[in-house]
Amino acid sequence: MTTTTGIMYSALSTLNTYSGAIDVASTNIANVETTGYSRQRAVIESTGTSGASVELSSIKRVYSAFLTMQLRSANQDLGKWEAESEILSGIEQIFSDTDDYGLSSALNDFWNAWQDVINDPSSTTARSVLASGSDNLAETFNSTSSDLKEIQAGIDDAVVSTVEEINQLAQQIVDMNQKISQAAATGGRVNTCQDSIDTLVLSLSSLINISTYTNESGQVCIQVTDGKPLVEGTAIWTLSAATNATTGLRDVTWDDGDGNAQVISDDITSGKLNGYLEVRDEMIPSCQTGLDELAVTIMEEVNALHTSGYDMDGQAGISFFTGTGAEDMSVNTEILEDPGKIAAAATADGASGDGTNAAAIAGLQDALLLSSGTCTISDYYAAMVAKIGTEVKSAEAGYESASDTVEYRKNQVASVSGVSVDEETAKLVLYQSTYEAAAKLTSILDEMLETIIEM
Amino acid sequence: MRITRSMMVNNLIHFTSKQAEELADAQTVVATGKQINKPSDDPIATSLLLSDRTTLSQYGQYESNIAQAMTWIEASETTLDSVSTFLQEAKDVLSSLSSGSTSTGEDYAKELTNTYVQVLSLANSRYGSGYMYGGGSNTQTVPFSNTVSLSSGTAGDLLFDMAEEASSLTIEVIDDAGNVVRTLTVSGGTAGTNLINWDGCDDDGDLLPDGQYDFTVSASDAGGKAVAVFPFYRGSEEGKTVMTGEDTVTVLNNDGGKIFSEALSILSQAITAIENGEDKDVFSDLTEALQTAINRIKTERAAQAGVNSQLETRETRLDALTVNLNSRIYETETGSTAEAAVKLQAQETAYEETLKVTAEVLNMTKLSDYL
Repeated sequence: MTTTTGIMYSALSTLNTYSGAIDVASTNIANVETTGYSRQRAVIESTGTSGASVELSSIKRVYSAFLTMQLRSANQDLGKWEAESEILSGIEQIFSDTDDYGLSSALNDFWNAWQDVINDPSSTTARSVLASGSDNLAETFNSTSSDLKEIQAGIDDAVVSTVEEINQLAQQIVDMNQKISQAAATGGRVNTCQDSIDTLVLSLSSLINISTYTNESGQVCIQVTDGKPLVEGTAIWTLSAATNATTGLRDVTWDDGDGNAQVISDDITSGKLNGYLEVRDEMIPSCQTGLDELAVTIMEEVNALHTSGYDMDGQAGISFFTGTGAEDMSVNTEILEDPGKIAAAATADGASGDGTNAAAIAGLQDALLLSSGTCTISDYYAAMVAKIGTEVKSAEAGYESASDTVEYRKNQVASVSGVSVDEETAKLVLYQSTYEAAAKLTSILDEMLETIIEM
Repeated sequence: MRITRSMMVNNLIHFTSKQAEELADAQTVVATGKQINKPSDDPIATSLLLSDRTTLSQYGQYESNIAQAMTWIEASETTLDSVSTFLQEAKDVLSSLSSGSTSTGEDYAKELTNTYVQVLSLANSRYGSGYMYGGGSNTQTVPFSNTVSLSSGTAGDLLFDMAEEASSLTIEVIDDAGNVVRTLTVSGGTAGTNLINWDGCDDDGDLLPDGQYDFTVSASDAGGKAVAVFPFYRGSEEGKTVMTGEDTVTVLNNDGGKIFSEALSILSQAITAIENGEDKDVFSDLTEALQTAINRIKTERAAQAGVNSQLETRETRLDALTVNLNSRIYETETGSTAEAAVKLQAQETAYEETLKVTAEVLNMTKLSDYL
C-alpha cells in the first residue's frame, strides 16, 4: 500500500541522487582540459522492490583499456623515433659538407696540393701549401671524429638521466598504487588515481618498452623489456646505468632485488632509450668505423709511397702521416716544420727537383682503394654521407608517422574518455529538470499532508 | 565516433604545427635557393653532389696545371728563340771563315766566345724555383757547369765533355774566392764525357773545406793543338711531367743535354779551331754541324708548339666539362626556383586555411549558448 511517507522518501531519494549526478557533471566540466582525465558517469539505479526510490549506485570512469594499451604502444615508437631523429640530425650536421668546408673539400685540397708540388717540386711555397693542406685534412678528420665522440658522450649522459626518469616514474606509480589500496580499504573513489597512473604509464612508455596489467586489487603492474618487473602493486625494482668496462659507455641494468644487476640494454626494443642506444651503439660506431677506414687508408697508402721516395735533401722519405685512425691522425711534425722533408722525388739523385713520387701519391685520388677495390676515397666518403642522410630521412619519416599514429590513438582514447561540454550541459539540464520535478513533488506532498491535517 | 571540443582543438594544434614545419621547409628552399640543404633532404643527390664537386675540383687543378705548363712553354719558346738567333749569327761567322774571310781570327774568336757565353747562360736559365732545362727530375742543379762539390771531406768526380781525344789535360780547381787551389795534370782523355777523380786536397795535400768548387780544363792533343772542352750536362734526361687529366700525363721536354749539348760542342770546337789556326775546310764542316744543331732546336720548338696546342685542346675540353658539371651541380642543388616558389605559395595558403579553421573552431557555439 502506498503511503504519503513512502512517496516523500521517494522524492527525497530523487533529490539526493540527482544532486549527486549534477555534481558528477560539474566535475566533468571542471576537468574538461585536464590532461589524462577520464570523464565520469553517474550510474543511477532504482532501489527497493517496487522501484519507488533511486540511488546513485556508482560513479564509473569511462575508459577503454584496449585503446589505452594501443596508445602506449604507439607512444613507445614515437619515443624511439623522436630520440633518433633528434640526434641524427645533429650527426648529419657534421657531415653537411659545403663547397669550401668539410672533409670532402679538405680531401680535394689535399690531392690538389700534391699536384702543385709536381708542377714545381723544388718550390718551398708549393710544399708549404701541401703541408698545411695535409694538416687541415688531418684536423678535419680529428674534429669530425671528436664531434661524433661528443655526441656519443652526450647520448651516454642522456641514458643516465632517462634511467633516472624511469625510476622516478616507477616510484610515482607505486605511490599511486598505495593510494588505490588505501582507498579500496576505506571504500573511497579511485577514479582520479587511475587517471594519474595512466598519465604516468604513458610517460613511461615513451622511454622504454613496457607491458602492463592490473592486479586483483586494481593496482597497476609494470614489466620492462622481456618481462622484468618494475612495479608490482607497491613493490618496486630499479634500473641503473652502469659503465661498461670494455666500451666505456653505460649499460642499462635491472636490479633483481637481491643486488644482482642484469644488463638489459639488448632487450630494450623501443622507447627513447632504444633510440639512444641504437644511435650510440650502432650508428655512431659505424660512422666512426667509416671515418677510420678512410683515415687509415689515406695514411697507409700515402705513407707507403712517401717512405719509398726521397726528400729535398735526398734522404729517404719519412712517414707522412702519423696516427692510428681518424681521431689521432696527424701530419708528421718534422714535415710541418720542414716541408723540404716531403718526399716528392722517386730517386735520391734527382731529389731536389723530381716530382715523380708526388705524382704517384696524387694518383691515389683516383685509385680504387676501398670496398675491396671498387671505390675511391671520395666515392667512399660520398657513400657514407648518403648513408647518414638516408638514416636521418628514415628516422624523420618514422617520427612523422609515429607522431601521427600517437595523435590518432590519443583521439581514439579521448573519443571514449574525453569530456564533451555540450554533452555535460545536456545532462545537466536533464538532471536539473528531474531535480525540479522531485522538488515539485515534495511541495505537492506537503500540500497533501496539510490537507490531511486540516481534515 | 564521439568528438569532443578538445579533440578538435588538439587536432588543429597538431596540424597547425605540421603545416608550420612544412612551410618553414619551403621557406628554407626559397631563401637559400637550394633544395638540398642537408644530406637527408636527398641522400642520393647529396652523394652525387659530393662526387661532382670532387671532379670539379680536379678539373680546376688540371686547368691550373695546364696553365703552368703553357707558361713554361712560352718562357722556353722565348729562350729557344734567342738561342736560335745567337746560333744563326755564329753560323754566319763560321760561313765567312769557311769562305776564307780576310778578317782577323781574333775578332771572330771574340764574337764566337761571346755567343758561346750567351747560349750557355740561356741553357742555364732559371725558371720558378729551379732551372728551366734541368730535365724532369733535376731542376736544382745548374745544368751546364764545371763545378764539383766537396762534402764531409769527400769530393765528387770532375765531369766534363771533350770534342776529341786528348793526350794531356790540365785541370785547375778554383775556390769561391777565385783562387786556384789545386792543379791536376792528367795524361790522356777521350772524346765525350770524361771523369777525373779528385781527392779534395789542395796542392799541398791538405784537405780543403766542404763547399762548391769550380774547375777549368785545358786539353791538348799529341800534336800540341788545343782540344775543345765544354761543360757536361748535369740534369736528367726525362722531361718535366704535368698531370693534365686523370691518368693523363703531358711531358714537357726540358732535357738540356738533348737541346744544347750539340750547339755548345760546335761553338767550343769553333773557338778552339780559330785558336789552332785551322783551315777553311774545318770551318766548312763546323758550319754544317752547327746547322744540324740549329735544326735540332727548330725541331724542339716545333714539338713544343705541338704540346702547346695539345694543352690548349685539353683546356678547352676541361672548360666545357666544367661548365657542364657546374650546371649539373646547380640543377641538382637548386632545382627549379619557379617550382620552389609555387610550393611555398601553396604551403602558405594551406597554413592560412588551417589557421582560419582553428579560429572558427575556437569560436564555435556551445549548447549552453542556446539555453
